[in-house]
Order: sequence, then C-alpha cells, then structure tokens
Amino acid sequence: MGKSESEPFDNWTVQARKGLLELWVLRSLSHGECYAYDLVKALTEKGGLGVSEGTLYPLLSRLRVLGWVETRLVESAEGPARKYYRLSKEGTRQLNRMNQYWRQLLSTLEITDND
Amino acid sequence: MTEDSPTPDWSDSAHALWLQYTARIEARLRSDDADAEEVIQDLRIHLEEEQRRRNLQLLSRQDMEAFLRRFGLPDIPVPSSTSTENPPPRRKRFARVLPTLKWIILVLIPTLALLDEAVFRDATLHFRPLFPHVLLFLMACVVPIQKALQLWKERKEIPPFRTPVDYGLNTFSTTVALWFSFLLLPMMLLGAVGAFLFFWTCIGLIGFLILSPAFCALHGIVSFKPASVSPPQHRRNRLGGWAGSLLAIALGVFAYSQVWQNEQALRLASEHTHPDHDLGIRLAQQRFTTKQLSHRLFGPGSYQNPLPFGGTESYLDREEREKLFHMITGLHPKEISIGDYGLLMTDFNNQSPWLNQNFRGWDPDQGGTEVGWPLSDLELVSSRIDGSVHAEGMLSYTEWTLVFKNHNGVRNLEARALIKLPSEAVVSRVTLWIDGEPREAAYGASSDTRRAYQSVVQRNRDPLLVTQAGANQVLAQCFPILPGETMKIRIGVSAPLYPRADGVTRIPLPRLADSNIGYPAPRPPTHVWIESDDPFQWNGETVAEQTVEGKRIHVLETEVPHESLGSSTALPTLTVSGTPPAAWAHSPRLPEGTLIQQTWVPAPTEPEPVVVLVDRSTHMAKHAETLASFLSSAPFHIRSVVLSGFPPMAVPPDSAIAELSADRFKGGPDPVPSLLLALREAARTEATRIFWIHANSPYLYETKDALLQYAERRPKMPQIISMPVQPGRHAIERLMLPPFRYSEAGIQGLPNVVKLPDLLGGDPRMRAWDPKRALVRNAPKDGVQTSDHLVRLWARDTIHKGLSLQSDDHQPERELGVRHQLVTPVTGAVVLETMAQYKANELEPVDPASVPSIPEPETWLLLIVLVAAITWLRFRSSACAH
Repeated sequence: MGKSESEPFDNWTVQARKGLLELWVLRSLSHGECYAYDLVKALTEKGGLGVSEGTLYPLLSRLRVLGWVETRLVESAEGPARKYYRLSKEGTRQLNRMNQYWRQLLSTLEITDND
Repeated sequence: MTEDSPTPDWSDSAHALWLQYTARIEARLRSDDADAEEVIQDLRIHLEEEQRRRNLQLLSRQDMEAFLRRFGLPDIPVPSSTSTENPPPRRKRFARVLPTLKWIILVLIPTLALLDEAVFRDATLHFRPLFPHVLLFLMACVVPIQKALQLWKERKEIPPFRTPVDYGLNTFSTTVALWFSFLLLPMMLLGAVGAFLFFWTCIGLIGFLILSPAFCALHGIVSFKPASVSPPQHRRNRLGGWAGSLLAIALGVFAYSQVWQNEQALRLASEHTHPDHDLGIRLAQQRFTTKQLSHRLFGPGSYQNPLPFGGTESYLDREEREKLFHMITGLHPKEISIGDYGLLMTDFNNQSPWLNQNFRGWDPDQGGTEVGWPLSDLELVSSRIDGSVHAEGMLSYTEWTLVFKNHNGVRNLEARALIKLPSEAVVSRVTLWIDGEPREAAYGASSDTRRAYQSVVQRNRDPLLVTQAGANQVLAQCFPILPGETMKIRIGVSAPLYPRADGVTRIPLPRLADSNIGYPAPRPPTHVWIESDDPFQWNGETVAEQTVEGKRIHVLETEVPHESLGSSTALPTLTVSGTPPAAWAHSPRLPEGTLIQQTWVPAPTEPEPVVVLVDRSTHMAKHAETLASFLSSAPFHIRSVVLSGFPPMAVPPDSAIAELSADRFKGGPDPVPSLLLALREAARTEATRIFWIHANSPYLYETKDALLQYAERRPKMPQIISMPVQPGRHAIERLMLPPFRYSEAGIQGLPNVVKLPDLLGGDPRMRAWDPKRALVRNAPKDGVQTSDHLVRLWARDTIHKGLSLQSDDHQPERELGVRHQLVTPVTGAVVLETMAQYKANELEPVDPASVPSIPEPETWLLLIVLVAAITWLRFRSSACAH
C-alpha cells in the first residue's frame, strides 16, 4: 500500500511538536509553581500540540532527572499527595537559551519569507 | 496503599487493565532518561485526581479504557544531543545483547559459583571456607534468585522496585553480595586478570566465578532506582530496604556467631590440660550432630579456620581430629562414612583434604606402632589355625597363618594386625614366607627388632615384625606386599588352659582385635584344625577320633566365620574333673639339670571387695538398663562405682543406678582419668579388684603419663578385670603391662557379663584353680611329662614378674625372652630377608629345628634323629680321614 499524500506532512508536524514540547512545558512553568495535574491538564487541553498525559509525564520526569525542574509533594486532604513542579535555576537558564534560539529561528524564517 | 495493590475505588478488571498498561509503558520508559517509577506513579495520581473530580465512585473497566486511551503510550523523544541521529550500530548491538549478558553475569555465573562451591569446594580448598554455616550458603543463594526475579520483571516490563519487598530483597541480596565480595577481595585482582584476559578459557570462567559477588553487589547498587511515590509509600519502601539489609546482617552475625561458638567449644575440647576441657566436650556434644562434626573435622576446608577473621590455618592435626571426634561422639572415624555430611554438605567429589592428605597415595602409619587406617587395597585372602591341645599339662599351642593380598597396581603396602592372644599366652613362633620358603624370626630386644624392621622397610625389603602391644595382644606388621602380590605370615601362640569350677575349660584361639585390612570384600572364614590325644568338645559334642599318620587322635576340622573367631561360644572345650594333674617339661634352653614343674592350687573362693568402673561412652548407652540391673543384683561386694564421663565421678553403688540413664552415655571419654579414679577408690576402700565394663576406646591421650606415674609409685595394684562389650581395640591395653595386673574376662557382650555372677556360682572370679610353675631339679613323682610350651609359659610369667619390680634394668628379662624365643613386653620377633641384614642389626634368626610345631615330634623320634645325625657325622669324618 502506498503512502498517502499527507503522511510526510504528518510526520513533519509530529517532529515539530516534539521539538517544541520541552520549550512549551518550560514556558508554562516560567509563570510559577504549578500542580502537576493542572499543568498536564492545561497542556493537553490546549490545541495545536496534541499531546497526552502518556507523553507529558515522562517528559516532566526527564526534565526533573536533568535538573531543569524541581518537584515537591504536598499532602492533600482530598486525595493523593499533590506533586508541584517549578523551574530550577538550571531550568530557567535552559529556557532562556531556548527562547533565544527560538527567536533566532523565527527571525531567520522571517528573513527567508521576505526573500 | 501500595501502588500496584488493588484500589477499592477501582474494579478488579480496571486494576488489571492498569497493570497491563503500566507494564507496557515501562518498557518504553526504560530506554528514556525518565524515571519509570515516577512516571507510573504520576500517571496513577493523575488518574485518581480525574476520578475524584468526576465523582466516579467506582472506576469501571470502560472508564479505565477511556482514560488509558486518552493517556496513550509515552512518545519518547531521543536525547537532545542525538535527537536527530540514529544510535550507532555497535551501541544498538550492545543494547540487544545487554539483557542476555545480565542473565549470564548476574544469574548464571553466581549460580555456577554456588554449585561449584557446593560440589567441588574450590574456594574452600584453594582459598578459605566461604560457607562454614549452611545459613550462609542459603543466604548466598538468594542473590542469583533476586537477580533472576529483577531481570524477569524487566523482561516482562514490570517495574522491579515498587514495593517494600522489592526494596528489601534488593538490599538483602546486595548486602550479602558485598560481604562475599569482601571475603574474596584478596582474590579479586587475580579473578579480574583471569576474567578479562582469558575470558574464553577455564581461567576466565574461574575469574568470573570469583568476581560474581562483586558484579551482583555493583548491580544491586547501580540498578536501584527508588520510585517517586507518595511520602508514606516512600517511607514504607525505605523501611523495606533497611529491613532487607539489616536482616542480611543479622542472619550473617547469627551464622558466624554459631560458627564461632562451635569453634570455641572445639578448641576447649581439644585442650586436655585446660580446666574447661570437660565443658568444651559437653558444649561440642550439644552443638554438633555426628555429621556436622565429621564435616567440620574431616570435610573439605576442615584444615582451615572457618571464621572470617584470624589466620586460615587450623590448629588440629590429623590424629588430634580423630581423637577429638571420638571423644565428642564416642565413634571412631572408621565407623562413619567420610564424605557423607548430610544436606548441602555432601562431599560429592570426595574432596576431603583429610582423606586426600592422609590416605591417598601413602600410608601415614607405615612402620609405626599403630594399626592406623584401613587400606582399601589390602585384603586378607586366607586364614588358617592349626592347634594342638595338651590336656595333661593344661596347655595349647596354636599357629595362625594369614595371607594378605595387595590389590593396588602401583604401591607397596604394609599389613598391620593387632592380634588378641588368649589370657596369659605368649607368642612363641613367628614365620614369614619369602619366595615360597618359610623363614623363622630372630628374637631381640623390642627396640632392636623394631629398628631392624624400620631399616629394612625403608629399603623396601621383606621384613615381618611382631611386638607386644599391651596386655595379651601383639602387633604383627609385614612389608612390602608388592602390587598384586600376596604375603604369608604365621604366628605361633603358647597358651595356658584354665579349668572353671564346673570343669569346663575353654581352648582359646587368637583373634584379630584390629587391622588395616580395608578391601571391600567379606573376610574369609578361618580353617581350623585342632588335634589332641585326649577327647575334647566342640559345640557340646565330643570331637571324633581319627587315625592320622598311623596314630589315633581327636581332630576338630572345621571352618569358623571371621566374625565368630574368638567368640566364647565358638571355642572348643575340654572337660577336667577335679584337680588338674601336676606336669613337668624340660627344654634345652633351661639350665643344665633343671626342668619346669606345674602344680595347681585352688583359687580363693571368698568374695573380694571390688570397685566397678563403668564406661559411659556412646556405645554403652544401649546397655544402660542392663548395667543398672547388673549393679543392683550383683551378689559380690561392690565398694564403689566409678562412672566415666566429663568429668568422671565416684559414687556409692546405690547412687550409681540413678547415673546410668541412657542419656548420660555420651561421647568417648578418655579412659585414663576414670581408671585413675577407680584405682584411687580401690586404694581408699581396700578393694582388690576393679571390674571394668567398657566399650572400645581406640586412643590414648596425654593423660596416660599420670596413670604410669601412679603405677610406678604404687606397685601394689588391684587386679583390673576388663569386660569389653564389643570386639575391637582398646588402646589403654597398651599400657596394661606390669606392674599393672590386667586381665580380660574373656567374655564379650554385656549379656554375658551380666550372667557372670551366675556362671561362677555367685563368685565373679574366672578360675577354679591357679597354676604354680617353678624351676626345679627333679620331676614330681606323680607328675606327667608335657610339652615344652610349659617352659615358655614359665618364662613368660618370670618376665612379667620381673617387670613388675620397680627397676629400670630389665636386661635379665630381655635375655630370658630372647633365650626362649618369645615375644614379650621387652622382646620382639623380626624376620629379615638376608643374613647380611641380620648381621647389620646384630640379630640372629633362630634354628628352625628349635621352634614349636604341630604335631610336636615325639621324644623317641627326636632321639632317633639325633643318633642318626651323629652316626652320619662320624661316618663322614672317618671317610674324610681315609
């Protein structure tokens, strides 16, 4: 069976989303500490990225292992202990570098468009 | 609530679905930098939060399916640095083989290491004992099991560390692996060299075996990733981890403390002069089963310190181990199966260094004074006894001919046999067959004959040595029995006959008390030929008369099974009514014009005060009840009862019965302290006899000097009457030479001992008549001439009397023994191969015409031979003159 016409495009969007996912999560946390459930819920419900809990939690864990985000558990009277995420210093530094690169990338695209 | 336990708010099927999901995603997460545990926990919390917010009282399977469909599987991006590149093929290949490698290094090799140690004891034999306690072995077995479980979970995509049990198992196994890594630390460098430089060879495998605990410990530390869970769960998991580690430490401390206590008990037990020696024996009896003790003393690694501290060398040599084993268990190591130590301790490969170092390839007792251990290649192939009975002189002479065969294909062997003689008998002939020709022995001082024997043994020539080895027993040893060849020896024994009150007189035969014959074949029966001019009985019937070489004699011709030889029921008997006749005999070895006269006097009949000495060793336990009954009903006067043990005790007869319960019979106490106590009790109570009821005691200890000192300082000794309950060796008999007055009751087996008072009409003495033998000038008028064995018995008595005197000069006794060609405490017999050897050792073989024989030549025949010889010599000299 041959590939459909949209398949290369779909692959490209998946790759683009993947590349932007970490930037997106870090930017979401740049506003302050966030309850994991709320953070994931917000990200999954936003259109455009099309990510699920099954992708976001591993990403958050990886970022914690890298030391870019920090977590803390807070006991909750209503249910299980709540996990809160916030950016670490290293995470903030990395976010700044990513933002800078992102802006460069956008400006490059604009120049190319103008050409 | 643990994370994989069913949630009350979830249906079972929903939970099952959740488990399937987590197992699937875990595999994906493993290749990511994310913490799989943490992700699964986060997803679960997320799910529970959703459920709470949606007010779902029970999460059904459909709900779960919906949630999980939405969650999806993790979309794992590759690491940022290589996110757009494929991993190199080598790394890919390594990732593929990594699980297999893990199985090999963490499960297969540790299992092989454990099997190798259990079966071949390589580490124990070449390094140090790793598992001195079975618990340590079982703990080590947990390591590969835990690794297998962990790897299996990884393969099945199940998180390996989720519950306190997972944590506990990992820390237990890691702690155990760390301990064995520490023990093997000195070998690690060699192991690493072997493993990495020669990994394709056996050396490499050995290296991996050595390194295996270190690999397991490292994996336990590195692979451990605590799950990010709720604080209570985390606390529980941490607790599980600590519990596992502490449990390993506690079990290890317990196992080593047991080993340490065992060693302390053995050390105390092995030090005879230590004030707590008896305590050590009692502790060792409590702490060791027979199999455990045989494993500790004779098994692989038994020559090394089993504790992880201190040197690796043991403090006990071979003989000390055997003695210690006997003292604690009451068993001779010959009685147990070396190599069979029970569960997990079986010496499958027969690697006992005790066997290897002492018995494979050479015989450590060769040329020595002990029978030693049986040689599996040495067989007794033939045994015959020829005997003659002289009723007129109450004498017998028996010749025991033994043929030994060496089944070893390479080594020469020495046969050693401890031969029990009839009471007050003496060895008067020793013969060795060399090249098919019988050669008679030379007689000399015991030390001279042994020196001659040893010098010839060293040169692998043919000698035979017979020396006195205690009261009424001799040690015969011959060497070399060449590979595949036989060696034939003959021992002649002159013995007195003692009539009992009922007239029954047993005709005693020699028997084997001990030997180093170990060939796995039944011992041959002994062909017996006993002849006498007078009628005698066998099995209650008078032996038939036959015509042999024109003469009518009574002949017993039969076969006696080996185990029955020497048994009181298998002996022929002679019936004597009234006083035995007076007799006399002459011999060319007596001074000119003298002869030996034998008369009989009635033995005293009044009961004499006695001390009863009861051996409380293991083999006596089965006789406990009978002994108690014996002591309560014995009609003669018992002044005191001495009970051997740790320590021995002297008690009044009525208190002794309480001390004779079966559980008091333990181990194999040194007989010397209890005998010394019995001698002192006899002196205190003025008892004249000691009745000693005992099992075998194969060893002598340092305490023997105290016994010898007692004998030297108190020459007036009570008579010691030995009543063994089993055949075999009783080493203390070696000491029971004059001045000790020692005799054996001649009846083996406790039932017979108990019947003794009845048999003797209420009197324990064995004899109704005592012989008096004296050197006189004239034959008694009413006496009859008898065999010159009477002269030999007189010489034997004279030597023993001389030895009882407090004198260091026993040259007269030696000269008498050599002149009469006897084996006595001061003289021995040796057969050498050549005259040069005799000359070098200043010995002279006896004239073959001067040794006793069966039948003995009649006097008239001797005279005819003498006259013929003189006539021939005169004729020859006159012929030469012409």
